Amino acid sequence: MTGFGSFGDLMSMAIIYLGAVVAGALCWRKNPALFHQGVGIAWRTIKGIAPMLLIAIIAATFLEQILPGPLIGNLIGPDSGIYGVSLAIAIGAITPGGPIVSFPLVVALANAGAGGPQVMAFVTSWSTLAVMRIIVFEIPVIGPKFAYRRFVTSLFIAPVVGLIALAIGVSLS
Amino acid sequence: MACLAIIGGVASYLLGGVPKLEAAATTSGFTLLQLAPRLIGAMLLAGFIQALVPRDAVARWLGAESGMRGLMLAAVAGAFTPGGPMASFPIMAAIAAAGADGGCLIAYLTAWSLLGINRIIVWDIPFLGFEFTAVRMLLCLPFPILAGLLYRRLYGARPIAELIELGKPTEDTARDREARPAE
Repeated sequence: MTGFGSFGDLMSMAIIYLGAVVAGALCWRKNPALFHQGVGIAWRTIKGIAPMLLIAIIAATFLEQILPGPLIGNLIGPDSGIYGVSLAIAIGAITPGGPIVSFPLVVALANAGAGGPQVMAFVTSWSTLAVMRIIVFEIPVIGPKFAYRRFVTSLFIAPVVGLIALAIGVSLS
Repeated sequence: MACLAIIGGVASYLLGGVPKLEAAATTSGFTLLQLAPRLIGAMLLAGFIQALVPRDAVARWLGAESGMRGLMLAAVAGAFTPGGPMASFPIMAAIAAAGADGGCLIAYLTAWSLLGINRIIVWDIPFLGFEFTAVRMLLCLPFPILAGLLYRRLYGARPIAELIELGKPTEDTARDREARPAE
């Protein structure tokens, strides 16, 4: 995670709040009711995810405490190269749950010594392959045949992104 | 998740005793303090975007389009579709039923999962930082189109309505989409 008060931290804060002000103003200009709807959606979202997120952060922090740093560093550290990227892709594909689970996990892995390209491979694999999402959403909603086709056409993405990230030496901010 | 937290807590106690527990509690609290202001801003932004983007317009843009333009439109729509899989998969099923080709739907879903603006604002930037996220987005930019092209190559550019289980979102899923928090 970016350091507290660092340039990246302030940047992301500024972007988020600037965006919120602009989008809020657009809503208000179009129709004040839209503005209230937006605030309502935000409030429901916060209420919906807050308990889960709290628990996920605590769980991830405990995980961080017990994760053997040198082991993580060896397996998916900055020097783990293509093997680390492959392993990160495998972990990402089978990580269950939405971003509430995966992002605290990513931060825990990064703090334990995971490398930039490996983290990027993890996030990409979790986004595109998402085995749990296939079971929970894709097969019921879009059917097994199309879910299978989607899986097949997404298989190449995480390895290619991981290799490019490795080649250009992406680092964690 | 709660089980995981408890197991993690017990494991850290067994491995490191009280100091480990204290360290974990301090780190958790610090992480929360650091994240809370950004998450609140992010939720407000996501909420306003969700209120602004008309869902039926998204379905209309993708319904009849095809070719490269269709793929690009689909990718842009996917990136801007707010909400989690609760929102995107029912929308996709509706677009499919309206006659969109498989390649467009792949481009839509891939863009939503790789470049979803909503998720990037709420999760990627607060957790992984602005620079790392910007690099990741740049790297991932071509892949929704490439995946769509690959689909057309493998399975042909034709409507896939008959493959989709849910023809269109039911009243339940529609209501769910409204009430469901964005991921």
